[in-house]
Amino acid sequence: MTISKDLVAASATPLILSILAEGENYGYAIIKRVRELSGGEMQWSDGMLYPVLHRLERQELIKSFDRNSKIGRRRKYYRLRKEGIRTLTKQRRQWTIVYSTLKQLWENEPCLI
Amino acid sequence: MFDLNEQISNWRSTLTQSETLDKSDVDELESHLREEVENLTAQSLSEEEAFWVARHRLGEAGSLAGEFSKVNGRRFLWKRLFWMTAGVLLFLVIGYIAGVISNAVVFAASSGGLKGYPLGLLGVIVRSLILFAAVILLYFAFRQDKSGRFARLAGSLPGIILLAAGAASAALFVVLGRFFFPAATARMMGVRQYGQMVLVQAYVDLVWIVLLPIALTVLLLILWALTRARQTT
Repeated sequence: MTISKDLVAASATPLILSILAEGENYGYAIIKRVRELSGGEMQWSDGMLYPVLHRLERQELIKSFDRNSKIGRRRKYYRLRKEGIRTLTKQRRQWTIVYSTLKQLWENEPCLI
Repeated sequence: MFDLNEQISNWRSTLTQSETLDKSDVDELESHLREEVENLTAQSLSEEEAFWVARHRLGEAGSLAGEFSKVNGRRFLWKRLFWMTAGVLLFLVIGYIAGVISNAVVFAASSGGLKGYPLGLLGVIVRSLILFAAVILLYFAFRQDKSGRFARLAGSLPGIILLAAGAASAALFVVLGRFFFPAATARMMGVRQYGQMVLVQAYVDLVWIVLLPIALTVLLLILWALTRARQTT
């Protein structure tokens, strides 16, 4: 099942911030992580991630830096900033509320589907 | 024979043509593309197949440019403003150089004994020749520009018409402004009074000739600093 475009766009920020909360990372690995965690259900157009990363950087939620990998390739890494942690905490609360509300409705109501 | 590096450099050049992506954006995307190609070839895809799949997953150049323009939009406004100001300044500088050289030629000719109408005509011819030479020179300078955008404009028929119209209107502007109007004015008001007017104008012009380029240069430096600042942050 493919996730709708609006939902993908809305969830991009908390997803990226949460992955970076696990540790600094670079674009390709972030996309791979999303793909793995969702069991391949969340398909981003790969190029879409980078403008989002740059926007988060401009909002000072994350910070980029260059680093050479073991095989000598230069990669742009991203890491969370203090403001990013704060935003993630807020977003987590919001998403939890949305999730638990929907869950209660779907558990208590007789299933119509 | 499929050459991955050649294909990637072609792909890079289509991305670079879009104003909204700068070099570091394209570098990041290339690093992504190469990693995906490696990953896919490890899953027993050929290099060529891997390249096309990776390229498709990354998204088409047009939609990538659209996504990036949402974040980079304002930076490119500054860039465009920068080039507009640079163009105005360039036009002024060429105009001044043409004016100075033609004045010098007129002065030399008048001390050589040339007077009246032929002298005025000489000045206009020199001025027009310099402007014409400047347009030709700029054309060849831009033909060798790296991104090739100007070359594409100059290579198409509407582009040539546009450039020719621009050059012709610039030449017309100069001829009208510097020759026809003063000539008509001088006839109307009498040569002596006209001479007094020219004297006053010369002093006022001096202020403008000095101040305007300085103001534009300062503006250019500010815009340059702004585009730099936005690229590094």
